Amino acid sequence: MAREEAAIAHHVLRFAAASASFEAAAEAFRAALDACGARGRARYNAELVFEEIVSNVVRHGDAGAIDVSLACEPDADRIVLTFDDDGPPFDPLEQPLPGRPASIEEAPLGGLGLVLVRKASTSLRYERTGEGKNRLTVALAST
Amino acid sequence: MDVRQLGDGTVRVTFIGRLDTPGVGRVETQFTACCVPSGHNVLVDLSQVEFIGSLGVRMFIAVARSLARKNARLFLIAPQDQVREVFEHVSLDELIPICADEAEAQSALGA
Repeated sequence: MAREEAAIAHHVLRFAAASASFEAAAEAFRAALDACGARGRARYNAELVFEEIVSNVVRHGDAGAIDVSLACEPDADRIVLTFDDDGPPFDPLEQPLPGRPASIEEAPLGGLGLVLVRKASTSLRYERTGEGKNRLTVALAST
Repeated sequence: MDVRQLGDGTVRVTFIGRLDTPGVGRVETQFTACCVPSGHNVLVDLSQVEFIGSLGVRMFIAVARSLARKNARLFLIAPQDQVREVFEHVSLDELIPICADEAEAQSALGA
C-alpha cells in the first residue's frame, strides 16, 4: 500500500486569480498532465474541469490566488484535482443547473461550465476549509 | 480560423487548435462578424479542434441562434470524439446538427 501511495505523482500550481494569468496557468497544468502520462478521456476531462473551475473563479470568485493540486495514479487512469481559492464562500454543487432546452432559442448561455464539470467527473466534493478557503476536489477516470 | 465562401453562398469556417477561454477570445468576434450579418448557412469544420470548453459551446449557441432568426442554419462537422462528448453533455447535439462530413451537411441543407 505504501509503495502504491509513493507511486502517485503530485503536482501543485499556484497562480493569481486573474484573466492575465489564465493562459500560462493552463499551459503549466497541461505540462503537469504530460509529466503524469495522462491521456485519453481522463486527460481531456482534467483539462475541461480546469478550464471551467479556474475561469469561473477568475470571473466571479473575487479571489486573490488559486492553488491547483493534481494527483495521478501511475497509469494516469485516475486523476484527482483539488482547487483552493481564497474568495468568498461559493459551493458550485449548490448552484441550479439549466434544464434541457427545447430549441436553440431557449438554450442557456450561462451555467454550462458547471454542467460540464458534473458530467466530466466521477466524484465532486466541496468544503470551506479552516483557513477560510473554498476547496473543490474532483475525481476523474478514463471510463 | 479559416473562412471560405462556398458556391451556393454557404460559409465554411475551419477552426484549428483549442476553443478554450483564450482561444475563443481570439476568434469569437471574427467568427460572429463573418457569419451572422449575411444570414447564410454556416458549416463549421471542427476536425482539427482538440479541445472545447463551455465558452466555445456558448459561442456556437449564440451564432446558431442569430442565424436561426434569419432562417439560416449552423452545422458542426467532424468533431473529435471528446469534443463531440462536450456537445452531448449539454444536449446541444439535439439542437445543432452534427455531421460526419461536409457532404452530409450539404445533403441536409438540400433536403
